[in-house]
This record gives sequence, C-alpha cells and structure tokens, in this order.
Amino acid sequence: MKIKLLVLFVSFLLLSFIGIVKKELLWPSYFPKPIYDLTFKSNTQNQINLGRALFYDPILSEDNSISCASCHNVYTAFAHTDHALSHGIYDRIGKRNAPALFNLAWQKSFMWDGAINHIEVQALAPISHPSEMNEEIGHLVEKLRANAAYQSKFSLAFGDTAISSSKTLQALAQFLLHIVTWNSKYDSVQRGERSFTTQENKGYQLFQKHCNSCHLEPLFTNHLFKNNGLLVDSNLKDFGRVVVSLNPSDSFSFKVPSLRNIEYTYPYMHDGRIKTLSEVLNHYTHAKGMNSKADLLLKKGLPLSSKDKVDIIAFLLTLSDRSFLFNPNYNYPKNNF
Amino acid sequence: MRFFFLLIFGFISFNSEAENKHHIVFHLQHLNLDIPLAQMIHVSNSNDSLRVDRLKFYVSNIEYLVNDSVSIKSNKGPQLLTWQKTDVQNAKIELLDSLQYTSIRFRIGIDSIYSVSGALDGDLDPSNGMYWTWQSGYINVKLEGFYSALQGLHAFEFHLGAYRFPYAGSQTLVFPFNGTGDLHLCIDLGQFFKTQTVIKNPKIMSPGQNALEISNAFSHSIYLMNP
Repeated sequence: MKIKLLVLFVSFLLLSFIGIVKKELLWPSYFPKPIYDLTFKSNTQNQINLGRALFYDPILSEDNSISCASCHNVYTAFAHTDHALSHGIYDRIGKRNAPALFNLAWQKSFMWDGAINHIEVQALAPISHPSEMNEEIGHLVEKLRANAAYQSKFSLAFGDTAISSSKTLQALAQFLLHIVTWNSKYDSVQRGERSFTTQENKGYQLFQKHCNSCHLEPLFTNHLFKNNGLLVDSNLKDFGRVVVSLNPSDSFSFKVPSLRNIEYTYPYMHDGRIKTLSEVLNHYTHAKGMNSKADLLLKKGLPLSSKDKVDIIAFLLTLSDRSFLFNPNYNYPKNNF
Repeated sequence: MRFFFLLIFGFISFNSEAENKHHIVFHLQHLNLDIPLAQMIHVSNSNDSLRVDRLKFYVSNIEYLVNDSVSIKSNKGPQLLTWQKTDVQNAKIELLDSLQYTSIRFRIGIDSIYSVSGALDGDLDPSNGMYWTWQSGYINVKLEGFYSALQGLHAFEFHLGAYRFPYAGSQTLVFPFNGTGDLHLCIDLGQFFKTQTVIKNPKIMSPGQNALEISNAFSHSIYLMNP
C-alpha cells in the first residue's frame, strides 16, 4: 500500500514537472465562483505556457510587428497606460481604450460592448481587426505550423503536433484565464491581515454608498453595461452596446470596468478620454456634463464633496496589487524565445 | 423582373451498403447545365445577370421523419458547404441508412449553442471564414458576387447569421423523402433576388431584421426538384 501511494505521489510530481497535470485556478474565499467552467476543457501548465508565448509574440499580427502585449502591458495590469486608444499595425489607431486584463474567468462577456461571448474566441477580434493586428486566423495558423518552436510547444501542450486555430485560441484563453489579481491591500483587509487607514476607511464607506452598485465588490464590477453619461465623441461615433444587442435602451452603454489596479490603468473610460481619477470623479458629480440617457444613478450627479473625492481615491489606491504586476508567471517569457 | 437562374445544390443518394455511403452531392446548374462560378449568367429576359463568387452555408440538425414525427436524429454536427471561385465542387454529407422515412428535415445554419461554445474545430473552425470576429457567433450563410441590372453593376455581400433572440437566423426546411433514391434540391437565386429586402440591402454584414428577412428569403429559394 505504501509503495502504491509512493508511486502515485512520484507520478504526480513527474507529471507536474512536465506540465501535463491540470492547472487549478485559485481564488480567495470571498470571491464568487468563476463564470468560466474550468472543468470543461483541459488546462495544463504547458497550454498556459503556450498561450503566454503567443500573447507576447508579434507573429499574431499581419506584419509580425504587434503582439497582444503591445497594448496589454503586464506592468500596468495589462492595460495600455498613457494611450487613450489602442494601437495597431502600421501605426493605425483603434476607437477604444485597450482594457486591463485580469480575473477574466469571472467575466461572462468581453470587450467594452460585450460583443464576445466566450474567452476562447476573444482573441479573434484583435487578431483580425484592421486597426489592430489585421491578420487572418487561418494565415496565423499557417505561420505557426511553419515555426519549429511552436511545433514543439503545441506538441507539449496538446499531445500531438497538429496546430489548429482552436488550439491556438484555447492556449491563449488558458493563459488569460490564469491572470488573476487578489493581493491588494483591500484583499488583505478582507482577509483580516491589515486595516484601512482612517482616510481609506472613509473612502470605503463613500464607495459602498455611491459606487458599489456598479463597481461591485469584490471584483469591483457587476459585469453589466451602463450609460455613464459621457457625451458621444463626434469623431469616434461609438454608440456602445446597442450595436451588439440592437436594443435601443443600450445606446451609449459600455461595460462597467473593474476598478482593481485602477491606479495603473489610466487613461480611463472606453475611449480613454479622461486622464486622472480626480477627473473621473468630477465627471460623475457634474450632472450638466451628462448625456440625456445617462444611468438614473448618475443623472443627477453624485453628491460628493472635494474631500469625499480625495477619500474615495485613497480607497481606490488600496485596490493596487503590485505582486500581480510583477508576477513572474505573467511577464515576457524570455525562455520561450 | 423575371429570373430563370437556378442554382442546384441538392443531390442526395442513399445506399444501405457500408462501402457505398449515403451522401449529398452538391451540384450547381443553370438550365440543366453545370456552370462555373465567377461568370456572369443571364437571369432574366431584360438581361439582368448575376455572378456568384462565393457561396457557403451550414447544414445541420438533420432529422428523418415518419409521418411528421422524428424517427431518428443525425448525431453529426453542422456541415459546411462551399462553392468558391471557379470551383464546381462536389460535397458530401453522410446520412443514415436502413430506415424508412416519409420526409427529411434540416436546418440552413446552425444551432445557437455552437455560437456560445468557444473555439471549435472542423467545419466550425473559425478559419473557415464563417465566424464573425468583431462579435461572437457564426455566419449561417455567406453569399457574395455581383448583380447587373438596368441600374448598373452592384456587388452583393450577404453574411447572414445571428444567434440571439429575436434575430437568430437559422432556417428549418422539410422535404418529402421516402428514404430511398435521391433527393434533388435547387436554390433559385432568381427567386432570391426578387425579394425587396435583398434588392434594397445588397450588403448585410451583421445580425438584425434585414438579415433575418434575407435568411428567410434564401431558405425559401430552395426547392424540391423533380427527379
């Protein structure tokens, strides 16, 4: 019996070492259960490694110049700090801000308008978009098949040498699903390890009263689509969710983004038009600047004083997770190239 | 406007022998003649003409009926039928054998479940060009080409599909079929181009009411041919 257990244990260690044991996603007890069914498909460390290599590889773009990481920088919570709109090949500019990427296993839909319903097909959008990577998935698969390094990586990840679009997309999804953040000061307070300062606590109380209905704890988003009152940009003419849902009540609505790591993900809003958190709060307290179809909770402007705003920002800064930004599992995989 | 253009696609043969599988052979014809794609074909007395550069659509949910009740359902997933460029392709869909039917039912397009299931393989591989990338969901029917009439030459592009209510665009068709011999179907694009929504909206690239109406027009252009 002892020998059998020993053999099992050694086998597990060996399988873990070569990366074919199913990789479990971990989350804290105060998080809800992920939306994505992680038991549905295999997700091994080798698949995650492959997805990570693809994420950082400009081979995904038509002219091999732009990778996912070009607009999703790990050191800024996978957002594109200081860039209002996404950048693509040939210096083309998109019409929306590249969102931060984390805790994606809890998301039911993707993109600012929720146009993508499954994380495995999300990457098709930036890969094929003319203002982003401008590549056809079929041609990308041809490039990967011709690449000896990827032949090896796909073989390790999926157990055979066949490279397909579904495997490519699944690997990218596996890497993205395992990008998680729950080690901010807020989280340590939730776990009873630390306490908020007086100012942070005041900001937390104000946040719960005025912001939490949309930016719902602990993920800091309710994953719904809301009209936050921004006026339509006359150049971008982006009407948001309505283009996908075809429901007029969704006009000018965009996904409520998570506020985790908000310190690093500026500029803010779907088109990156607001540069600072102070300006964001000023927008939400300024009723006259709202469009006519703004969400009812915002239409009258939030009743926040200048000091209230400072306190809320103090709380928002507790959502920064530096261990996430510098997690060695997420950055450029030097050994893969 | 009168059209006489018939695009024939259905040629289904059944055989109970394993070595001679039942299959569908798709055959493009105009006035009983095979035609290559990418050629202008007169489709009316007033010299209106049509050129098809690409035609792709899914056939799925094949069911064999006995007196309007489902006798058996095919367990195969959606199958993609493709005509492209100058090809006149034969395509095969294996069907069940050794059963007696009175009719056959299938869907032009796919069930919405496939549009919410992530990255899939085979005929549902996104590299087949039948998956929207700017939003999730499969294109059920893709029809592209040129249409020439008194008003001039117009390109048409129909990418028809949707999986969300109320615009889910897959269409169900039923044809009498006794389970033996061949079932011949044709797509009458002349009839298709008589539809006002088709004429007025030659470029449909997203879901909506127009896409739904044009999907309906496409499925209604499919007829049972006489043997």
